[in-house]
Amino acid sequence: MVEFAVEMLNITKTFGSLVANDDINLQVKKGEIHALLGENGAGKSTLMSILFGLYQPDKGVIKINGQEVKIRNPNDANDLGIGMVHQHFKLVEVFSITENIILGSETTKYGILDLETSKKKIEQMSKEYHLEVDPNAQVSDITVGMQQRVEILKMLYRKADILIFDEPTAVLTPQEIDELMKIIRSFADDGKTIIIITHKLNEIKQIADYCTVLRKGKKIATVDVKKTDISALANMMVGREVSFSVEKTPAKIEEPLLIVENLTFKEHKSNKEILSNVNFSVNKGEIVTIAGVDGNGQSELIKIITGLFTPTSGRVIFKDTDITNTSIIERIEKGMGHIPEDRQKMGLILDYTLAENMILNSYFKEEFSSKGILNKEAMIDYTNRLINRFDIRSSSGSLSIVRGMSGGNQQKAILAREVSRDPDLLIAVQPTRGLDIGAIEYIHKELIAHRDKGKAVLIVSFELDEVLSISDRILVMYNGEIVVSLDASKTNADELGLYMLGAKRGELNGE
Amino acid sequence: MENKRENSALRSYGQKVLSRFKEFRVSSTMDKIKASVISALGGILVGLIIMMLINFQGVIDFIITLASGKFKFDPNTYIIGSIVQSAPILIAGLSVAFAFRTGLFNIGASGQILVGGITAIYIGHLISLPGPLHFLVALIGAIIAGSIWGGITGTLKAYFNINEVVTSIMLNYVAAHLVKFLSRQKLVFDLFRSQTKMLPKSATIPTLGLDRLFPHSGFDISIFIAILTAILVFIILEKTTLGYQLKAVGYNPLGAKTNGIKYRRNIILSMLIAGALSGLAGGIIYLSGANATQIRVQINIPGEGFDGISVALLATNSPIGVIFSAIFINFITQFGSLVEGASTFKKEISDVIIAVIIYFSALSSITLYYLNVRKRKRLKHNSELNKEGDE
Repeated sequence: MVEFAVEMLNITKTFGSLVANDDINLQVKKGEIHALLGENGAGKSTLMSILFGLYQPDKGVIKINGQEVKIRNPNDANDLGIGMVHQHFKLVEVFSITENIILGSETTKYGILDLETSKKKIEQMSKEYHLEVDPNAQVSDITVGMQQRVEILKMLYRKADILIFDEPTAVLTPQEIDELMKIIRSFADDGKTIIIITHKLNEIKQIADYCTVLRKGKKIATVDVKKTDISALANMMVGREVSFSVEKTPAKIEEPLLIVENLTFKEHKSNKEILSNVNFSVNKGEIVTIAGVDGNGQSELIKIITGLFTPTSGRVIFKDTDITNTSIIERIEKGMGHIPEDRQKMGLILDYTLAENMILNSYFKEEFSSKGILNKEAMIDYTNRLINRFDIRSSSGSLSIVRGMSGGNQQKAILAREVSRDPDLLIAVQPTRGLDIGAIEYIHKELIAHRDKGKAVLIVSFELDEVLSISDRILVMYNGEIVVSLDASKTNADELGLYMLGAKRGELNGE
Repeated sequence: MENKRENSALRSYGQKVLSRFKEFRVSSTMDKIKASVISALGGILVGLIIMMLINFQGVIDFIITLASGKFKFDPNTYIIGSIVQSAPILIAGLSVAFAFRTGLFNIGASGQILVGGITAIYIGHLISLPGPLHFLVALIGAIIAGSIWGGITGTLKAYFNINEVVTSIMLNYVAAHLVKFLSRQKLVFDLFRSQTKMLPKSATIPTLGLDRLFPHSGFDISIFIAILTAILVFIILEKTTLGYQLKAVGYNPLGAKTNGIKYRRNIILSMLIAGALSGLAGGIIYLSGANATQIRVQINIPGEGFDGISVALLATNSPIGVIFSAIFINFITQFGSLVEGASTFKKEISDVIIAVIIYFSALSSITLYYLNVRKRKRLKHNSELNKEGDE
């Protein structure tokens, strides 16, 4: 008989009328790397939250190392040796790495915190597992990659031997991803059991032994990764044939629409230079993508272009007019569309209905209001048209409260609002973050269709696959500067990775 | 030691619970009404238990006195009066509710009331105009003054990001001292009574003979002004582009800003309107003829501004709900006087009951949560037929 480290048998979990997990079986052997694959809303996170004690299953049994257990809360999970690295890290920014790792299981001496001993232990663990961290550094000062290593050390410090990773590569550079893969592999070789939640197929192929596919709350299959190819996995996950390559014709580039000149931005408090002398332009009829690791100034650059920030020096020229100091609404009216980086905080008013959100930057138009009174019928008609055209799904159509909608549909709603205003320049920051293959495919098609109408599209993305497949031209940002401008058809992931890490600088051809 | 492990996981659990409570910010009207009614009934019940606990004999005496008919129960005072005299706290409640709906906590209604009140008194004494016109001018003066006072808070918030709770509380004291100074000027001060002079009849609220129709009720048109104002606030919040922008800024300032809604302009506008409403309440309080409040020598921050917070809370910030909650709270206050007249209780017992009601309504999100849990369970039974859900 095979000994399983984790067995989840006949797990069923419902939320109201929604069946998140429907009679799911998951069995993971000791020392195995098991991938959990599925679209958004397929039930992966719910299943892992059950294993980690955040939810209680309505039905079903959990066995750890053959013993039936009840996991009532994360403390129980910890006691059973289950650790989890969440997609959004849960670290205290103002604490040092050591303080973060020991938080909750501190070593004390006569009731007084013994940081020295803990620090030594962490240093030793850091060497042993090749997880390079500086125990004295403060979390707010370290890279995302290092933060993730801190999270991993946190699990190991608590002697976890069943490790759950929730979308671990979403925030990493290609080089960091390779490094992480090696580390995960070495954990498995040490006899630790690993479960990875992901929807990135090539990573599964690269690292996992087995893969369980979920779709709409049901388990579709558990497959041996070596014997299954990527397209078969994708078909199981989506339930239909998926096209991987983004189909697009060569760009028909016309005159420049947006010109950014010598843009410099210093943070008010620290006076730290976030952007240094940035120059580039975006032409009609092309998709320009700004690639780079998160936190290299992309966010500030877009905020300056869209009017949320004012630059320290430099100019933004849009349609031959200097718009550096004009208001946000003037820019929107002039033909700028913006799909912001944080859809919940910036893109939507979550407590408003879908219809109210759809007119967020056009409520004052004659179509939706007259003499200051909103025309609710027109709002709802308009929203219903967008719902049909963009296939936005929600519980009660145009009157759904947006907070209750899924992430993918929230993003589709923003896309619908911005694209349907037909802006001359569409700016999209991480337009497909956290979305599943089906939704990504859809959003990419819409962005390309917008370009094909002769409009300009400016994208910021941290996903290399996306950068390479959708762009006509790629600008790489590193440390507040644009270090290279590349023709998307003549580059590859490795080259981009080197520019993104600052190891290489190139020509800003044509700029 | 053991159960302190893995704080981060617990924190994320906490966040899940919190977000569950946040869902109720947008619950249905029916649920809100239910929560308010439950809070009110719960408050009364607990209040009565407290009354019995502190003075059981008093409760018995009260019932005997009422039943024996020795105490004359005057419906004009206790019923009509409660309704018609709720106008000031009704409008103050609108001010607080309006600010709340747009994301601001206007704790400075009292200061705005005072500033509005003194302006109305000055206009009452300074100019002479015929009948209702004089009143109207004084009332508009009160509205403008209150609006300016609220606008200070809004401007400080919009341009310097100073918390409106802090500034509006401090401005209450500034208003109290300013008004004390202004009220002791010769023109408006009555030296013998140590309070502001009685206003000329032309400046007081018209009664349209209602006070004679219902003697001892203090009936004038202020209650109609208040109800009309509630309807106006409802229209602004729910039907206009102005309300749409203000609420968007209130719900999510960054989201509104990113989409081109002018954040600063709307914060200031919101406080200007909230201040105007409080100013109106001030006008109503100090311009009422028969039982007019005069400004006295000691510094006095009027309680109506704080009652407004209770009224708004109980009404879950719905302008139409405020009409009912204001009348209800005023009933409880009147009940206090009734109890004092008919038993050994002091009338302050009504404050105890109101306090309990406020606790209940502050917890209304929890009340709603349990209401919704029951609803969800019911839904679950019906869900077999309809498994779609929304993704």
